[in-house]
Amino acid sequence: MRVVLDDGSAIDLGVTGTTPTVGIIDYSRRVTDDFGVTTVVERGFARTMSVRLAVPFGLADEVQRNLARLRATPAMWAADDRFASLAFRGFYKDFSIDVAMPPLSYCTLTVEGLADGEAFVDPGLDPAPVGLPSTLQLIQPIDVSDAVLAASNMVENDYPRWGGGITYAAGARVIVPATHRIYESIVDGNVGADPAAGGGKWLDVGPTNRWAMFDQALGSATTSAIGLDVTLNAGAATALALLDVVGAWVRVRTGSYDRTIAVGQGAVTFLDLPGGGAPIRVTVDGNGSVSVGTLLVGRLVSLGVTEAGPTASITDYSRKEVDDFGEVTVVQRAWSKKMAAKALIDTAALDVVSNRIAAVRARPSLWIGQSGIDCLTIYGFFKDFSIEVGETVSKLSLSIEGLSQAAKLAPLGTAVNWGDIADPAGTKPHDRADVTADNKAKDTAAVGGRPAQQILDAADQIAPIKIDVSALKEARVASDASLAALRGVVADQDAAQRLADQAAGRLQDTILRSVLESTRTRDVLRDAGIVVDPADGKVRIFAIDQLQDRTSSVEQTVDAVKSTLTQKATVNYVNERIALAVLNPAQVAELEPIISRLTQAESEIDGLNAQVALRASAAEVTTLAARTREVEIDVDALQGEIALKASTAVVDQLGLRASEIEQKLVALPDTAGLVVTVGQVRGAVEAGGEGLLRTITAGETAARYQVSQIAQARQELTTRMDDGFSAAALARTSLSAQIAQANAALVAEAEASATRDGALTRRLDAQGVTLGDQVAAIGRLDQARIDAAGGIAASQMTIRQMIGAAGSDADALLRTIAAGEIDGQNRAAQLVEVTTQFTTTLLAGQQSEAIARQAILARLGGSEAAIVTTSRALADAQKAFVSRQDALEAQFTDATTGLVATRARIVALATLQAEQNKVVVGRLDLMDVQLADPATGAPISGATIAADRKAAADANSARVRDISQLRADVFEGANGLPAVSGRIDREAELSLTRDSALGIEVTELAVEVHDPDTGLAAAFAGMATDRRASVDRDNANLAAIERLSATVNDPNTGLAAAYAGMTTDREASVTRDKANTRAIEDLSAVIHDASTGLPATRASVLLNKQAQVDGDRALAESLQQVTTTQNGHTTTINLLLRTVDGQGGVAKLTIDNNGKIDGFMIDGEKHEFTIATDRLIVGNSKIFEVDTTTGQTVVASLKAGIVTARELAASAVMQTRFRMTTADIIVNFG
Amino acid sequence: MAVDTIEIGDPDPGDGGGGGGGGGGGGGGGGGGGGGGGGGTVRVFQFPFPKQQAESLLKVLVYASLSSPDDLQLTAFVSVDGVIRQSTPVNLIFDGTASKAQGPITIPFFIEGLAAGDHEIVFSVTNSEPDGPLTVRRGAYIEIVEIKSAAL
Repeated sequence: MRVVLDDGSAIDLGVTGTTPTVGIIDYSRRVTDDFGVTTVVERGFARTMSVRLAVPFGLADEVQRNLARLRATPAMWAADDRFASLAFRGFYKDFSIDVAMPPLSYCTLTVEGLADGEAFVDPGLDPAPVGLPSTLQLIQPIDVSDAVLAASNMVENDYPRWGGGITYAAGARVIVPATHRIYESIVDGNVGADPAAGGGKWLDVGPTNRWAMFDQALGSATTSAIGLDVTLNAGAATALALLDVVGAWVRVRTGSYDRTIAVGQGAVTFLDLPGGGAPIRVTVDGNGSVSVGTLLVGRLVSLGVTEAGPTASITDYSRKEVDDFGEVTVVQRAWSKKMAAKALIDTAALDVVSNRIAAVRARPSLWIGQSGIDCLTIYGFFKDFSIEVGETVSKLSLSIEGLSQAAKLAPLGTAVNWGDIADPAGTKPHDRADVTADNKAKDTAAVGGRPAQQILDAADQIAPIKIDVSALKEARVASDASLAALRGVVADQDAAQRLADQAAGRLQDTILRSVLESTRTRDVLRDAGIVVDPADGKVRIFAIDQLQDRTSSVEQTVDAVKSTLTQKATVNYVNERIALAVLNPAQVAELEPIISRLTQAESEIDGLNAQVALRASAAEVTTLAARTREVEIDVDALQGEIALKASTAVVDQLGLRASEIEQKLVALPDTAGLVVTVGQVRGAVEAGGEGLLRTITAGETAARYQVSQIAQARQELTTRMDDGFSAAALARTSLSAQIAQANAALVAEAEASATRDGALTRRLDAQGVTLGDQVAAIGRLDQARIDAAGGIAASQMTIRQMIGAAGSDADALLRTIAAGEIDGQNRAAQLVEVTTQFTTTLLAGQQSEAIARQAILARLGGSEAAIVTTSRALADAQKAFVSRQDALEAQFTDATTGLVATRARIVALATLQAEQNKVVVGRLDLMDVQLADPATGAPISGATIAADRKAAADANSARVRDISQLRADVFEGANGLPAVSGRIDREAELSLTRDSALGIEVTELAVEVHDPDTGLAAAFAGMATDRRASVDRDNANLAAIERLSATVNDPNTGLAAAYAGMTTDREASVTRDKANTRAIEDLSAVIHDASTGLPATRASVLLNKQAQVDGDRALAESLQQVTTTQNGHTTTINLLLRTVDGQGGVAKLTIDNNGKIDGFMIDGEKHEFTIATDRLIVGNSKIFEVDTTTGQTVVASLKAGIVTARELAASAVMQTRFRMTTADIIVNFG
Repeated sequence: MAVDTIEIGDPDPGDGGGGGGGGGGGGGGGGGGGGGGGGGTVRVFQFPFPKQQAESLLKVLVYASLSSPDDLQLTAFVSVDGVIRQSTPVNLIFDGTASKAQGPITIPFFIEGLAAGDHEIVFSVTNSEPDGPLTVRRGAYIEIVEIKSAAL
């Protein structure tokens, strides 16, 4: 025996003795429970060998040390290098060294290999000792698939094929050709659930008739009334066997092979097929119906020569129990065959035999101990085997256990099948319900027929609250009609210039006249006379008094032709020095001091034109100033006009000053009016007043004077009538003043007009002041208009201040402020504004409405704040409505791009509406902050709080609803994609009618982190609740669903990587004679496979409780289920408690470990306690143990009244074997 | 106490190793033939025993009627699966050179720690009397009882 370690070193343990024993440890699960149901799970296997080594007596210590050193050390153990069964890698399990008899000691060593699952290539040789044919044989069956089953006279039409669009009732059966299985619906309204997908709505009740004989299970048979005829493409199959055959004969044909065997009691075998690959046709016929339980076709392999004395027996799964009171319980159950046999094999074929047996460790196969002997022909598995390895011939010991015909039990049997639990309301979840978000198909049926997703859907129905905030925009761009009036009221520069020019012209004219009059002052003259000229009908009366310095003249003319009477009186006073001066106007300016005064008064009566004109003027020139004054009155009867005018102009050292007032009165049949114009102007020149005077006296034009001050006022009063259609009266006053950069303007207009159908009043007041680039204005417009249908009355006022672009003149500034903000280029650098609007509207007999609006705006550069408040009251024939909206906004705009960088808004809207039999009130509140990249406008972050509340009532119902929302988002700066987001939504609602009430509360809380590159969700955590309560006269219902969900996604694929969630569903409902309450709680944790996204590892807990009373029926039940799944393995624990009608109950606990069921059931009705498990152990020290696999019961300490041998099984306590010699035996010495 | 008693039947053949001896059979003679003469040690009984419990005790009880032309000197031992588990010397020495000593002996053996499963039980006798062969008379009897742990 040699041990080779991983580092290459080898240890020799001794000489391998004869008859080592080899075998395998099979890790596959082939467990047959107390009911005879066998569960098979194929796993790997490990080789074992037990060898006896001859060790020199003196080396026993060393061997022990070596083996101790090799403990728990994997190594290559080679007892015989020729055989894989005797040379493999593994650990030694135990050893013992017999040192009793020198010179040799013996070491017994057991070695177990590492798990092995490698494929075995069968060389096909017969392992029997040379010269002998094998009698122990094995049929290794192949799986009969669609490709193998070439033809069959059995049609697969047991039940209709399943259709995805068909709705199936509970109990309906269908077939699925893909699986060749029959499924039974276990729920009503079963639609769209693929039975083969295992969604829990279908129960697999077995194979179809066509395929029953190929399902490798006993208990299912293909039955035919017309005989069976199947053809198989089984490749190089060399054997065929039929089990549980009912019929007269079986005929097998393949190629030239044609053999018929009469059906007996046992299996029908054909072990001599040629194996040429030709199709194999099997025909079964007989009188009447025939059936075949199992048809096996495959390769026949040999396992050696069966030794004499194989044993055959059965395993009986029936219950035969006598309780403490002597009651006998006998339950007949299934049974299965078993046998034990030994076979001789050629030692050279040791590995072949070992591998052939290992190859079928988890596959039911047909074991033939002796052909033709049915009790030695067993369809099943080997229980254990070992091979004692001899020098040339080895001995195989083999135990075979057959399959029983027991049907596979559903978990804990049909008595307490999950499907049997009452479900009158159709709300029971399916077995192994799973509501994880990764499996929507299950999810939709998971929670009482009410998908958990419904919760989220309900939450999502809380639509985002939105409010119209356009009023805020209006606050910034609204123009004002009242301020527009200022455009024409700004100081009229041209008019002022004209006034100055006229004043200068009159002064110049006065001086010229003074110069001209001076020529006459040297003469003294006094004269008077009357001149009558009959020829032209004129009479002229005149008188003149001319002294040295003064000339006075009076003249009156009567003109009959022209029908005029004119009168004129003039006094010219000129200083003597002027009179003596050279008559050169250019020299007049050199005369100092100059004193002259020219006064004149005249009147003219024009009979023809019905005009009267009166004029008076005075002009005076001193050394310091020149002054003119002029007044005139014009009366024009034909024009219906009276005009009064007075003007004065002064030039002195301060400059030019001119004032003028003019009044016109007009009366016409259709219109009458009064216009008063008042103006003052002041001009200045750089040379000062003297220079100005010289300029004037020099005759230069007055246009050169620079107007520096203006004051203007104008008032108009007008009435107008239109032939009986309309009448109107208007008044307009405009005032303006200007000096340097300061301007002030004011206008007031009032209008009253009426037509036959309506009347209008309008009053406008506007005032504006400017200084440099700064402007302030107030405008107000009140108007009222009515007609037969109704009318409108409105009052609007705007107060506005701003600083505009530098360099703008007053007129431009006023235009800007009057027009409001038109576009960005005109945006004022600084602006503040208050606007109010009050409007009433009346539609006669139909509607009354009042609207009040107030807007406040302040801005400096990019910083801007605004408030808009709008109130509205409306009444019409159907309703009374009132609303109020408050919108507040503050924002900061980037100066370079003009894009909004930050913004905050608060909006509140309240509405009330009352109708004759209905009333509604609502309130909407929104608070919102946003942050954006000022360079691109892309969002950076934002948060919103919104609430929407509404209450309504009518004659028969009342309803109130409250929705609140919190939203927050943070975005990736680089791409604008969402980075982190969160939301909290809540909706609560009460809805009442006269005979019912419904209350609903839905909440959702979710936070999410996104992948920065893709924007896909990276991690999500959310919670949603849905609670409802409803009552009517006959029913009361309560339901509460809560769902918690947390998901982390794979950043590369976006698929879910891990999920944890919990859903609870609670419900209570009562009617007059029914009461039902239930609670479902589902916890699930899942790790997904990264490559497929499918769940890989899962843990879940499901709790389902229900209490139900229906008339005189009562049901209370509770199911708790915990499940783990990993790497394709699933273990589920179910705990069921149920009682019905006070007539007993069931308590059941099962553990389903990959199809193998352990558990117990207490049936309170039958008073049974049933345990299904391999071993029942009581006490930590195993004081009581029942091993159902061996049938042994171990009691550490038994205290019983009387135990007789009758209660003890044969050989239970001791077994005795003996022998006796029949002849003398001579023993020689030595 | 319930006892499962199984009668094996014919005695096992001798080991045939010696070939000499006065027995009629020679090596491998089975059944009713005389036991083969042993070259100093002879297997009187050899048969498999299916031990059912690992924790149980094997009680091996051997009865034999012995005779010798002179003294009875022998060693009786039991081996399991080729390993000697227990041995007992017998020395009955008489005066004279042809004492013809004879008599029955009953030898119990107790074997512990034997794993469950099939075991090969062998009862052998070694004749250490130099003055003549030892005769194990017909009717020698061996009884192996597995006393299971529940009864211990």
